[in-house]
Amino acid sequence: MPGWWHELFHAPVDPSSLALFRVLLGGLIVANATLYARDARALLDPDGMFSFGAWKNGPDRHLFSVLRWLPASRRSVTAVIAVYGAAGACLAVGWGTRWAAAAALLAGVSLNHRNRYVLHSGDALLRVMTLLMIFSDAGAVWSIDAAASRPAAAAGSPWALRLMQLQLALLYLQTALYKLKGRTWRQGTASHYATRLRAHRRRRLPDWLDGVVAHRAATHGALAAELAGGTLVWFDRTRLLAIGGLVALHLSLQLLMRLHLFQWTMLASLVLFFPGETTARLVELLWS
Amino acid sequence: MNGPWLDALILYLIGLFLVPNFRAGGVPRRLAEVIYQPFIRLGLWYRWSMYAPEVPEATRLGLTGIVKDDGSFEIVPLPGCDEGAGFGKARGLRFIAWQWALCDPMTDFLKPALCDYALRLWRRRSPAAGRGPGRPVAVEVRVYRYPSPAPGQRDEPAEPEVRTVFSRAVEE
Repeated sequence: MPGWWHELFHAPVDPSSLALFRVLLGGLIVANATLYARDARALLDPDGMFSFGAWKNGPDRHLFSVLRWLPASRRSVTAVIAVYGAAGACLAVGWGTRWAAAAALLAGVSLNHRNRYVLHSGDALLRVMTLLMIFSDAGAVWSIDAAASRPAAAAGSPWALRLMQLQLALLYLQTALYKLKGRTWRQGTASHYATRLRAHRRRRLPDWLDGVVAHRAATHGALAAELAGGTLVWFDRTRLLAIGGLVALHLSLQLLMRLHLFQWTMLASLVLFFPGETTARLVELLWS
Repeated sequence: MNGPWLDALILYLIGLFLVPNFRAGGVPRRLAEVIYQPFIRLGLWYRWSMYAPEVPEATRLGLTGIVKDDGSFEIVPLPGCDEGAGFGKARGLRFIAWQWALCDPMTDFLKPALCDYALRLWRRRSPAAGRGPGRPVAVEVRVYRYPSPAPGQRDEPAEPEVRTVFSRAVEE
């Protein structure tokens, strides 16, 4: 393999950003499990929207879910949600990190596939990140695992972190290119229509932000932020600008629209682009 | 795992992330789907599109029971749904792609499943309502489309356009 490949995937890096992301990912999984528990009766139970029989023989029958092998009962659904939440908590505190990630992946996929008609891209990102977490050194610092292993393990190969970063950049780039195919995105009216989706609207825009010029700025600003998230985020000189734009985008969407945990999942993932040393210094500052 | 095996795993995973995001078809696509089959089953084969190229219109789904005397009643809201938002707000205000799912021929099983679910709920709420003239003879899945004003125009309350996308007779 060429030198740049080795430098990118194998040269050791400070694992602090990865560890912070592990904590945030664990928290998101606990929150997701809590929300699943709240709506399990309608969305997951054998007596819910899809009976187990219809689901097992339906178009999703090839997708993995441990619920296929468990008795068709509410207790099975509750047990899988409990495993999911517990695995998320273990991940957050870094206790048996790799095993916790594996358990969170299998339980999360099982719940997702029981009713995949209520999912969004944030769920897919959680699945991918949890998979890569299994292979990462996310438990190397700020974890029970690290506290239990003395002396501390040396920084390992950051390939899993790099794949997480690649996936995130690909997500933003692909999304921006996909949106550019749409007329409303090119015209600068997409945010006008998006803020009128009744099912998702959290609050109305104030009049002074609801004009043609403001919507054009918001629509094209969102596209620019996402394009930067796929490109400028890789360069030291432009990284902060790209991350700042994405933070502004996700926070404003969180303020205006109800999209479950999507914005928080994206915001947490942006931590992966911080240099490890910067994250370590920031966390030290916050703790001291 | 180290050396060439680790590099091979990294390349394999990069392929897993990249391939679904390209529109390649035919043999290369089918070959990739064989190679990545375990990950497809785990839901890790994913094409990113955080929003459609065209913003979907404000729509909601409603389940409507048609009763014997030609009347009708709404079997909404369902548990976890707010009044007026139908399915759109279920699962803790989670985004639900019912409007897309209903357009996808692969998900035809959704429509009767939703009707069955609505009827179960209705009978659970009012066990005595399964008899007499108020008994539902059919259940319809309806799409309510709320027109948006053009950019720069004021929002005015508008009546939704209603379209029935599925109808199912209730068995005796």
